[in-house]
Amino acid sequence: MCNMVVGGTEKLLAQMRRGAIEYCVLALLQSEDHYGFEITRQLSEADGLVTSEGTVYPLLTRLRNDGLVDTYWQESNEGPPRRYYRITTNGKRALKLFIDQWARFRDSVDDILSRGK
Amino acid sequence: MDEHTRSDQIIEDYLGDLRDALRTVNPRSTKEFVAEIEQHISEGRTTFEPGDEVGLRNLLERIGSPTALANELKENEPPRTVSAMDRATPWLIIFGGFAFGFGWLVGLYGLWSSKTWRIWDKLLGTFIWPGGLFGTFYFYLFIPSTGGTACSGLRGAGQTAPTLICSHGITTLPHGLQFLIGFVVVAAPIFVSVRLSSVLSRGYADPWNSHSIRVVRSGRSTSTSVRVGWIVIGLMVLIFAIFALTLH
Repeated sequence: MCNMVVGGTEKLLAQMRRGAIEYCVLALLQSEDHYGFEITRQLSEADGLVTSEGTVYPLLTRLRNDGLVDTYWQESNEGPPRRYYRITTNGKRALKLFIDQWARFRDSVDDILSRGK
Repeated sequence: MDEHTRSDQIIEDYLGDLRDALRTVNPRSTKEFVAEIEQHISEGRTTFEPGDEVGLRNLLERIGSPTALANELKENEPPRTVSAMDRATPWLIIFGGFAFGFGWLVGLYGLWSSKTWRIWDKLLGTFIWPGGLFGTFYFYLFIPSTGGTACSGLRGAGQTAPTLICSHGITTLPHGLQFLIGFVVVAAPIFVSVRLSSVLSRGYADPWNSHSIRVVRSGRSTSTSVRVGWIVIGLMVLIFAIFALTLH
């Protein structure tokens, strides 16, 4: 029973992480375009955000399918051409909405959790 | 084995394991995903010496185990919706012919306009057999009168002219072969229909249909597959009309 509850929490955390990473990617792309390797490296440097670098690619595909980013290919001096990701107008709109809501959500959750200490 | 070749082998093994783990995932997603991971490995390899096996193993570990990546890809697949037309298509393909051929033609439209089936499934559904099971019955009606004819003459008692007993078409073939042909002719459209249903339940989309072969015209996207489908349907209507005329 206890294991089931812990398993459920882990699943929830994985979903929250997955949801949050999408907006982290959009935030990274807001300042400049990046290729996949750069994005995954920057995300994996943040503590606890990405469990494995490869898992970022399905998220990038979903962002592209949802029209929040688009891609283009660019030649590279260090190897094969790279696929660059660029935030779209819809992506910027979605990011702004998330940032507004996220601050309120985070503060409210922190407040409630601190009462339980 | 030199160090560089050993690194290549480690990567090949990893990508092989990844492809195996991705077998149960929609192939449309996996092809692109594996290409992304290959690209990631290429980029990652530039950060250490070509023969650095430890560096390579660390890189692959950071990318994640093939099983974990396959699970992540599954989690990110968009929820699949199966249209009523898709659900009806395998049934229309097999039985629709009995509705004066019209039901089969509707099924044919469903088959070619859908992204669920690959081009080979569409061709199978179209040509084995035109009309589905109705086509099978038609085959039995039509073939005996077009195949070879074998006759033997019997002269009965008191008869001046022999009585000719003739058999037509496949009835001139040995019994075993007749049975085999009969079995194949009946089983083939059933097999095709079951296959279409199986692909539908697996839910694999059609990469041929939804990737680059898409023509955008005045705001609407028209798949080449749909246009080919219309041509095939047109041809089938024509063939049906000719067959109907020959029956009369």
